[in-house]
Amino acid sequence: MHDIYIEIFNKLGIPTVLAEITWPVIPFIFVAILLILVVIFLVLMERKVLAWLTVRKGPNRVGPFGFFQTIADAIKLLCKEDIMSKDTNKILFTLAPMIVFAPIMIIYGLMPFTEKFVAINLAAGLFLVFALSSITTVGIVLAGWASNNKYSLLGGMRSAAQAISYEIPLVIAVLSIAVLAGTLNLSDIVIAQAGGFSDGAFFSWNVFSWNIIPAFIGFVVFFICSIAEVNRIPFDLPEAESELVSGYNTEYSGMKFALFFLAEYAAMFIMSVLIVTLFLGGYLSPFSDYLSVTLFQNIIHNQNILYIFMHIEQGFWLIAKTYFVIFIIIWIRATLPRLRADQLMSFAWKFLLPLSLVNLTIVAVFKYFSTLMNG
Amino acid sequence: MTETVNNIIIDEKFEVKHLDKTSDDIEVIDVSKNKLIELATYLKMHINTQFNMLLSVSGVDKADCFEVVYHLYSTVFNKKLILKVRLDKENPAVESLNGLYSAADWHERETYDLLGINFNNHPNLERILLPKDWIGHPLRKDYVNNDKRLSWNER
Amino acid sequence: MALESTLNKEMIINVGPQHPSTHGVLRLVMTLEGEIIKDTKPVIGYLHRGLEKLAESRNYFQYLPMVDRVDYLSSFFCSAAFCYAVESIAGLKVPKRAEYIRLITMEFNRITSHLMWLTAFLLDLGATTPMFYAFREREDIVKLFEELTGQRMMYNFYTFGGVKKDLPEGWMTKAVDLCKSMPKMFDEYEAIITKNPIFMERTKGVGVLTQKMAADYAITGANIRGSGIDFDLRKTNPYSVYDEIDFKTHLAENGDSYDRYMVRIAEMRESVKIIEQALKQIPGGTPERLKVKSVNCGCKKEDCEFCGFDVQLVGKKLNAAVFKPPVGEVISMIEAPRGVITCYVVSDGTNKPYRVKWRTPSFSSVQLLPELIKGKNYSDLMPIFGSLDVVLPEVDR
Repeated sequence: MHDIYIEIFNKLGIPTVLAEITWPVIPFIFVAILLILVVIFLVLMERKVLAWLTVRKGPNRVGPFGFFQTIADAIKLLCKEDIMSKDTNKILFTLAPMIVFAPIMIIYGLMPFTEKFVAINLAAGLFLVFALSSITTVGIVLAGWASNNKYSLLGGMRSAAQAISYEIPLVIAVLSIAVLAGTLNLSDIVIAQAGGFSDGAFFSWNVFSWNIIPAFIGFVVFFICSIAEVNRIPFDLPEAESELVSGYNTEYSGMKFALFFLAEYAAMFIMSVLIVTLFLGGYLSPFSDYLSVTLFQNIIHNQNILYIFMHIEQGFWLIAKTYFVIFIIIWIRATLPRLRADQLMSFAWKFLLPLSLVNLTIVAVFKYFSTLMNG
Repeated sequence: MTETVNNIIIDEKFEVKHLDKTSDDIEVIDVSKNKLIELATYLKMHINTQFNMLLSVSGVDKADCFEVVYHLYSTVFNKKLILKVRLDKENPAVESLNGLYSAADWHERETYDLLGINFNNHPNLERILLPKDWIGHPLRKDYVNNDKRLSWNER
Repeated sequence: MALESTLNKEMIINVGPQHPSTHGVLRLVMTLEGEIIKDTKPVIGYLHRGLEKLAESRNYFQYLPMVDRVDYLSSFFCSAAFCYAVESIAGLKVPKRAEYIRLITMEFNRITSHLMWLTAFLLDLGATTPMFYAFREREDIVKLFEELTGQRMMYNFYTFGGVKKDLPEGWMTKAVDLCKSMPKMFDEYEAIITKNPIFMERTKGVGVLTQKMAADYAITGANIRGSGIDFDLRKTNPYSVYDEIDFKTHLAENGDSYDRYMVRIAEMRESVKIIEQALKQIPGGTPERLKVKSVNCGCKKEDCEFCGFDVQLVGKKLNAAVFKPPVGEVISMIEAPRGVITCYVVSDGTNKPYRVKWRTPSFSSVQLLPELIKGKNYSDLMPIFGSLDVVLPEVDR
């Protein structure tokens, strides 16, 4: 991205210094636009899928198929009065939604959406992703405490307890990926999943070298934990609406609430992207080569156009896989009731943690023998 | 339970005043307020009666007295029974059945709330359906609502 | 300041009057230690409408529409309780056909009430889908009620000595069709709920109601049957025409929330069977057939199959203004969806009831609640309170 950006400046004849100065802003503009678009679509998708699963129609009044419903809701939230009760801690109360929202926005910048389409390519990207996603919990605890509402407080405390129990199996499940790929760079993790099982027409498909195959248990653990991480049913204890009214965001309204809302859906999307990146081959096509390249290489001989086609297809595969994962998350929401706080904790410590350790062992053994065989 | 409750308690000394039946053949036992607990305990514990359920406690403001009506039920014999206690118009009070049936707690509070009948030895005798600062007991026949706070504010 | 009080070990939390899972306006003053419930004090009366006081100033017929409001989810039962009480005082006979119509509507009402309970219960546990599924079927039944009575909730359909209208034409066919499709729908709910591991985890062994406690607190209905006490008034003291119908009462053993759920699901299935039988056995058959036959017959004899007493709708036409039951008192007991509704009516020979006392099952259930949730996790409030099936207007009357 960086190279392309400077190249554009060079070609237009604008000094390179200007490009260097403006560069850090660009990824965030890109990330913000992406995030808003994703959330708008995601909320609509969740409503539609949920409606379909619960024999309803879902939003269908604003625009075709209710397409502008989310936008209407967003405008409504923006126009709402921002209520703050008398005894709240005003600084922390205002700060909390930002603390929840900002880290998630940064994670968007770390994700490889296609081969080149990654805003910040870090060597320890994977590490940073989990470091940042834990900060969200701090925001939720702050929101719960600063609201000066007992329900909010309980919600915030539950969130902390939940984060402590779930981050450990989550990170151990991710360790297996680091072992398999031998790197913490997210782009390299994706590239390490290419190539297939062995040579030959069918076995060289990328799908056979995705991390999900050696680390299937890890995938299950990671999937469960990431649902808990984004506070969704069956692990939506911090905002369990039938118990805690609305949990940590009971006292929030207007734009502050909108930030929580935005953060929740943005986190859900980015967690799905992460699942896809780590276990399902990221932007890689499941086949040995990119379809568009195979199709058009005899017609179009311009390598640059083919290159663009390839990028579009990579984006397509990532989005397709991500929405498949999101669909499953919504499906789970429609099926399961909520767990109790202590059941959730014992599930994490007594079931998921041993499982993730077993997974790590299996993956390590797998890695050892595959290195031996490959020389 | 083939024999009636009448036959069971006739030779005991419960000072039962008279026995009667309602329109749908449920036995009614009139008992003096001093013997209520004794009789209720007997009816609950006796192997041939076993009235283990107190369905409701209600009060009736009769012309000359207050009646407290206890509806008992036996899940063993599927039999209903009505106990009645008559109380004076001035200072109506009767022993609470709370120790015998836990269900009596709220029903007695309700009767106190709406009819002003006092239940002695009740753990928490206060208003239940009406607000705590309500004046008077609405189900009494001489109740007149003259609470100024409740008048409509007609502007 | 509330922030200071959180520094203490115990926290007093005020659940309600407005809270998503108190099923109305119940207020629970709870003392929590962490998330463990130390003490609960229910505060009721927010929905008190003075139905007992209102009876004093209205005549029997004027009070009849009000009776439906005792419990808006099972209006037919409240209305039936009052009608049986007055009929019993006044010595009115009810024709068989009217009794069958009452029975069919009551059992349908039991299903709608249980479906409503199911939605609320599962929604409390965080599952949204069963709600929409259950409402889909509830809507079908409510449409039948609407066709029959003109109302979707407060039916005002029973009158002293019978019912106000005959079944509309085609109603019975629709009812039969609905009864056929209903068990499949119950299978659908069970598929999504009964074996759901999280649901089982949340409800099994939670809120155990022992037999002794149930009797002590006068808990009735499905709650006591979930604890294994065989107490069903339809069986033990048959009112209406339940003695002509073959049905079972369902019991469970442990008395936990899961058992109460199982009992209610089984009861809904049983209700469908009862309705199917009643639709077959109803004297006079379908209204269309009855109309034709009675016109053709026209014999006006008491025991005629088509124009006798048994196929009438009201035993005796009463004049609302001068209807005066004799002096007396009566207690009628009805097995409502939530338990035993009793209506104690004292008549002094005038056209107004001297005293009406409603004993409602939810009143006892709310009283039991503090005992059941003591020492439990705060999250257990929902499976326990939800499984008791409480409707607040019925508590406050």
